[in-house]
Amino acid sequence: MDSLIRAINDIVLAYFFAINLVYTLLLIISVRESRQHGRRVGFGGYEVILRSPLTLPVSVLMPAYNEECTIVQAVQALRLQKYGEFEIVVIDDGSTDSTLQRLVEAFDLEKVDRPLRLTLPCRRLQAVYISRRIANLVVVAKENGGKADALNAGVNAARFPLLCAIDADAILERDALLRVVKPFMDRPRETVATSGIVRVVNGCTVRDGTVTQVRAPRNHLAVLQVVEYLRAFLTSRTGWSRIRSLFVISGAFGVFKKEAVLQVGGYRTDTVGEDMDLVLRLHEMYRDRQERYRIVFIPDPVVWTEAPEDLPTLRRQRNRWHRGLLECLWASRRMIGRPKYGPVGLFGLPYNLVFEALGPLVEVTGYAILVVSIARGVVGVHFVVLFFLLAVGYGVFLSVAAVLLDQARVGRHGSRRDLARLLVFTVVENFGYRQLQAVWRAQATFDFLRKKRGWGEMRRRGFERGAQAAEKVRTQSAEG
Amino acid sequence: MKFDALAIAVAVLYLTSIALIVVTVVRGSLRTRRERRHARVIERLREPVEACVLEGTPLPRVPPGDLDALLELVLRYTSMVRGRDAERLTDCLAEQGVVADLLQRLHARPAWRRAEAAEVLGRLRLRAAVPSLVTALDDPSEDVRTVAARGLAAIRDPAAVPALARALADPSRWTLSLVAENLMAMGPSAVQPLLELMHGDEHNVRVAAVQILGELRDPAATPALIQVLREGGLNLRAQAASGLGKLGGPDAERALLTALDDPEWQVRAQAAKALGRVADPAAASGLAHAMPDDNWWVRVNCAESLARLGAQGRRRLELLTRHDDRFVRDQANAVLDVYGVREAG
Repeated sequence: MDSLIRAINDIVLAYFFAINLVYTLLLIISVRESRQHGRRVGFGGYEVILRSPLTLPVSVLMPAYNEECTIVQAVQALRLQKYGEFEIVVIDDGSTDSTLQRLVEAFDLEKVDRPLRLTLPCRRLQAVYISRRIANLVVVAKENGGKADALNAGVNAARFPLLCAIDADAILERDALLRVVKPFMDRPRETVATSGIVRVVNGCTVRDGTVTQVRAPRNHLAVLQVVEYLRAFLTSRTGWSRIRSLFVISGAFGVFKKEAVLQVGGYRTDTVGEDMDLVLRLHEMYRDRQERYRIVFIPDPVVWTEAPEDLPTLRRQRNRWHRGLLECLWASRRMIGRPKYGPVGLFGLPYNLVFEALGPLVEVTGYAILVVSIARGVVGVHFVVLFFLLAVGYGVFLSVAAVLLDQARVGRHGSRRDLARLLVFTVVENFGYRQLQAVWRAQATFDFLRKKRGWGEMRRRGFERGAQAAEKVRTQSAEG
Repeated sequence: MKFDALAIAVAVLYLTSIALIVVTVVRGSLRTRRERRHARVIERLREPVEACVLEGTPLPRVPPGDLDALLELVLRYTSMVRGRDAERLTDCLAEQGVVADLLQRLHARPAWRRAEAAEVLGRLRLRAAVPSLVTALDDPSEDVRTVAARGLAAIRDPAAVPALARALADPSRWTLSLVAENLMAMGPSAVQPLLELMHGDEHNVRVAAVQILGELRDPAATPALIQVLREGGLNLRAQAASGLGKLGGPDAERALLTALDDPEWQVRAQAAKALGRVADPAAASGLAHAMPDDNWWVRVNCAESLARLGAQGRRRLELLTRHDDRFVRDQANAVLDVYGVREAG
């Protein structure tokens, strides 16, 4: 019995060191990449892109489901984007509240008989509206079908070669679109998807759709998430992007080449991780075709989003995220470990499988075995304490590095007090919050396993089907 | 033994974290202090520099430590002043040795320093820097090449056009769109070298050249584009149609009307769109004739262009709402609908 416990202990230990080694490597890559990006940003020529007639126009897709409180403000804020030509496509996903009415009143919308090319399948469209006041606003009303389905409808309505998918409750910084589109201007043929940083807006002052003052949030749960987001975006995604295996492009803010999205058949509607799933299928398609492509994370276009401030909401969010990850890994299992799929297949997916998907299970096992070990005297208390300090210390180190990286680059969290608050919470998160996350995610894993049986066989919607859909050029007038 | 290693690791981790915090805080306050000093120097230099711009009073000798501030101040003015005044300013800089220093920095080892120098030289619109910047077009770093090209475009010295056009012909090393951008900024002087590029072999370059010629809107390019529209490959023809729409004029219009019968739908669609841009009501019958097309894009573009041709176009659209083909009827109705809403707004 004791030798079994010892064996499990050793496995957990080895796992711990392996994961931290990976984190360290990512941190190093990210710091280098950030520095380089920081230096290059000055030569970006953003003004040139802004004025140029060659700049690719963007269709901003904003799916909305029961957003009556925020939708008008969200559209108003989007109109302030510093960008050349863009259109705003709001997709009302069968809201049961007065989302649509609010839009109709605020922007003087009129129902039109505009035909949409249904290149991607989506639920029945009810009507297309355009505005008498704003030339670049289109509102598509459709039957409820979920976010992915709404996005597909938005892709059908979009006129421009680039698509920007954003959440209706997200606040884009005024130059975010300009910055995130830059890689498309630099390498127009290769770039297929880009994304930027998502930050927590809680605690900040928002005026007229722009964040005017950045503060650390009052709510403890929100501060924890500020630290978490910084870690995820600054020290992890930057690194993954550098080694060309990025596949997490947040649904809150991502820009895609429309042609590529059509070729993979759009968003898949039967997963909760539709954003990640799309990017994975893009990787798969281009690798299968052996074409050059780039999917990039840029560490300075910022979108602000509201973080949940109570545990039940946060728990639901995390549960959904983790299930999304698991579903995507399952759907892309044939890419895992295959050199044909490049860094994504060799590093990105295996990392997510071993450390992100199984991590919570190992962590929970680790805590359990620790208790048993101490109870049976397999390991000394001295060792346990030191190991615990090491684990906490490493967590703190990573978070501190992320917060400071952010601070050194832009000095976002202006006052010293806010910085101090963030740093305090890099320690606090290791006591309780981290464990809670592990439990939630372990739970999500079980939810995923239970549900999977219900699906029966899960078919991938390969790009073949998307290509067929693209060939079939149908037109349909929206009824109304 | 094992515990000792662990204990050391723990200590190292915590110390590193603390050290990181201290370093960041110290760097932060150093930066603030530097910025404050910089602002003070700028305040002090403002008056002499303004006197230099307005009255031509020579600048007093600036200590080497303050040259950065001087440069920044001058850069603020160069974006506002032109001609003699601008020259006076750059002369002042040259006297202080700043220009020589910048030219020197174009050969610095870190790429970002070279890029920075190229950027500043471009913003100063320094004619004397043109040869150096042309050399920098061959820099190993893409950033430097890009910035140098942009600088040359800002200086607008016709001498740089051939070099930029050559750059366009070597797309492996360039961001095509940025070079195109710079050539567009050069204005009419870029037309001739671009026309020559159109006889080259590189397909992408020819497409880009056609596109830029359209954007430059110089009628001198019309005959060449018409020829491409007749004889080029698919992409070239489509791009030429789009360009001719921007150039306009009777010759272009005639060629575009012919292109409505092109075998490829991409060309027909671009031609239809271009005719809407030219917006000559005489094209209405041609567009109405081309509208019953198998391709969706061609129908949409024809209908939208008709809507831009005023009363004649709208009359044609109204006739098309009674067409035999359902798709044509739907499209004509849809465009009239949207048009009506826009009119009311």
